[in-house]
Amino acid sequence: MLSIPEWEYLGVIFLGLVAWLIGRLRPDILAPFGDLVSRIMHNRNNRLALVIIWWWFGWHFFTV
Amino acid sequence: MTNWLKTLLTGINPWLPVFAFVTLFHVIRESYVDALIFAIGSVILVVDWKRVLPWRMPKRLEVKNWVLALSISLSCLVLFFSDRGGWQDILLLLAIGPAALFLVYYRDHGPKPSGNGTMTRTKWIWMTLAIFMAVSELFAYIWAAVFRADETYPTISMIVSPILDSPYGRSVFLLIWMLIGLGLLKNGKRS
Repeated sequence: MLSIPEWEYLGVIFLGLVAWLIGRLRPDILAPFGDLVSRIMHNRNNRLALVIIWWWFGWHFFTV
Repeated sequence: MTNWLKTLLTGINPWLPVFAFVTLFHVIRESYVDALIFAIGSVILVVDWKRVLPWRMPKRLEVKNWVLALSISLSCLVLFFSDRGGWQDILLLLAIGPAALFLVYYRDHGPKPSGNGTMTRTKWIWMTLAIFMAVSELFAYIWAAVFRADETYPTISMIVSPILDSPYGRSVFLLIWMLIGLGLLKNGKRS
């Protein structure tokens, strides 16, 4: 039996997949995920912050 | 807002308060290495915001695809085959961090990709999902701390950690992590 957070995380992953799929199939409803990332990564503020967060995920899960 | 405060905060990186909060959060949960990472991250954001470094990178550095592919392959091999948390992992990650920051430090250039109603809606949906995950994680931590019961409301780390100990789980996580990193480094090229 899954715990509440496991259901929550699976729900978020599922909704993320749905949003990604809608972006691919119906870009008039939701923009493709790649376009969103391109827009976000246009600013150095976001680039630096997101790279630090990404790196921390790697550190956190591979070294702990 | 008084003028001096306005002047002080002009151009602040909006991620800075988030990083400061996460640093404090990790201090409270006595996870000092994570706190240090976000503290260093905060310093990097402040240094960039206040233009402390005289160094500038006007253009995006072009990395040849074969160099990128070779670096990713070698990194994957090290992270997959070495002991989790071994010195090889630590050394490699310590090298990847500055290299990745260096690659994205270039000055913003060209017009920002256009935003419209669809883009705004998309942004809000993804932000809602991200905030929901963050709040859920925060709640799981508080639950574990208050009720001393990690199993009933586990954090992401507690769920993912055993998966990473298996070669299959580690390879899937490694693939996802590398793809996200590659996406972050390669993206913006279209802009």
